[in-house]
Amino acid sequence: MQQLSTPWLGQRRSSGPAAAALHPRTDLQLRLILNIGPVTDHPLTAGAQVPPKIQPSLRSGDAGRIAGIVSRSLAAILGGYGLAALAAMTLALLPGPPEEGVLWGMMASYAVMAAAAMWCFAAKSALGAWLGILIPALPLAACIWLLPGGGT
Amino acid sequence: MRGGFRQSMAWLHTWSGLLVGWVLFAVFLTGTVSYFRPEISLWMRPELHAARDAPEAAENVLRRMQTLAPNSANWIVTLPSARDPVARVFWRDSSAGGSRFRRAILDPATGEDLPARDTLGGDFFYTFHYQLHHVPVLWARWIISFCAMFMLVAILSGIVTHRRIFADFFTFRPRKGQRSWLDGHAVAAMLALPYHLMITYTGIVTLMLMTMPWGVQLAFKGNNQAFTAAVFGLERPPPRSGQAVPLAPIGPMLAEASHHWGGAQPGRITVNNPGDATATVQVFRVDDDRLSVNRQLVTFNGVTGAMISASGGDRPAAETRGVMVGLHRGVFGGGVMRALFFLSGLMGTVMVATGTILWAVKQRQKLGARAGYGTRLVEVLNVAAIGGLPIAMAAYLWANRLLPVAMAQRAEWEVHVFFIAWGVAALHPLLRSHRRAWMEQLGLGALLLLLLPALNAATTHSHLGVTLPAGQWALAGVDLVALALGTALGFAARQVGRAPAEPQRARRAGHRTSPAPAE
Repeated sequence: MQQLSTPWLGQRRSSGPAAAALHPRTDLQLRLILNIGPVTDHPLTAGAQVPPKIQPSLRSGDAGRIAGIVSRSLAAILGGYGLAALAAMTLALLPGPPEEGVLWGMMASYAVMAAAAMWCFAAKSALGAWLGILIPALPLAACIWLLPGGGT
Repeated sequence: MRGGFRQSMAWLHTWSGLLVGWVLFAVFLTGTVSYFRPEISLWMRPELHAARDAPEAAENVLRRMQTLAPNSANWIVTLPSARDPVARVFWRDSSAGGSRFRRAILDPATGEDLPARDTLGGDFFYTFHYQLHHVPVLWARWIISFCAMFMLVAILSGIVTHRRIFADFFTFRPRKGQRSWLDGHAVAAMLALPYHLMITYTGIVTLMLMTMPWGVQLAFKGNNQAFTAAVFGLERPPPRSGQAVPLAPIGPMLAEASHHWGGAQPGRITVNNPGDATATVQVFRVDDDRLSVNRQLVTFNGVTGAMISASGGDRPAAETRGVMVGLHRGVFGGGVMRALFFLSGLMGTVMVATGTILWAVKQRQKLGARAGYGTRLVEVLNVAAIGGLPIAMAAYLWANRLLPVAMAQRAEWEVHVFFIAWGVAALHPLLRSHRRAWMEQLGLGALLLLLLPALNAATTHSHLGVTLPAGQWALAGVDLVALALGTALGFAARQVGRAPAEPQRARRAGHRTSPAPAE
């Protein structure tokens, strides 16, 4: 039996047994039901008349994708804002006149936010998006906690 | 996301731009015309067109304030300038209701009130661009800041997406449907890319005390007043003593302040506790003579006229903020600079407009008649925003000339006309085909703007026939820019009104084979 590659399952480079072992009929059914992956180049449909692809709209197969986008969006908007706020607070505690540090922090924070938002959509996965927010957030939080004028 | 960095950034660019595109369009357009806020305000008050600056303006105005508001906690006087030849005064008045401030326009030559029609003038566009209207101020500013942040992300991800920026820049392909919209979008974005980044970032920074207060929370325990006092060197005036002492003459104070700034002119005067033994006078430097608008002020004892303190201009972070805000306001470089900023702002407006249109055109091309509500909604909103806002803005200027001068709540009604016009323009595309809606709205906008100078000539004595020979460029400029923008809208309406894209292409191909003189 011909092995089918199922690229729509994900961008996994290593084609593990799960990715490669689908029966052609199962594969085609999944492609049709979930409206993912091409159906015209499939061995079972080759040469057959395929109805025109219907308009993409929300369907059950998109649930995971949508959850991913929502999660990334939350990471970008809330996480990005939180990270920017931490950066602003860290700079506010730098030595020197406090109003100067506060201003530097405020002015620089939006660059942090923009970079964080871009990261959240560039990351390989939604989990990666959140980790990209949390990992730099921890040392910033530690700085605020430890620097004089912060934490306590 | 899947498909690599560039694809994920293309996705981000599309959605961060589209979701807030209509708000951004309104912010860009109203903000861009606000480069000429004083000129628009003056144009909208024909009664002031004869006023001229006078050498003793500050003395005359302060003398008048002593009878106008002798017991006020403070007077704020904006001195006349080349762009705005009248003195504007505000003063605190506990009997004034809501705002607790009263305001007047005074003649620099006499100090007397200059009666002018009740209007918000260019201030309406200016405040709309960062706090909208009919929306609670804080909410509105948060909405604008939120959208501006989306804009920043859209620009940055757009740079990644259109990585071949320079190559694309020289490959504008007109009248090729979706491809032309993409090219137009890229050209508008490219032409003024540093401006777009600058204006977005600095715009966000102007509202940062509201959106990013956490440093102030931490270092000043949330005391905004203590923070701004530290940044700007402002001190709270002491309470009135009740002992009446006349104010020292203002002339020597202005001269000393000017000397302190190496000859720069004073632009604004604040008198705290006027007529009292505790009076202080703060003289602020004009901010159109330097890049940073960080305020520079000299404080005087109001009774003796002796200098108390001078502040501003020596703190790196405060100056950086001043430069950012100065860049955003674009008042520093004179008329040519302002005109260039205006053109860049128009480019930004076109960039946002072509971006949202591109999305709808792409959807239509991909899905054809099967396009759903989402596409239709975007198309309707595109017409409502891009076609409708110029109509509303022009209608506002028309209302300024046509509403009776003595009408009650006249300024409010000018704004009502703006929103009624915009509301009708937002409903209109629901009832018309997409192409008809575009044609009609662009055409109406063009008509209103092109006829504005004629309306001005019919209703005032400061029309182009007078202002051009007299070299009154501030007033003539409003009429001329209306003509230019009206022509641009008319051109756009004509382009939309041509035959649909497919036959068009064929016809143009035919044209190309025919010899040039036949045209």
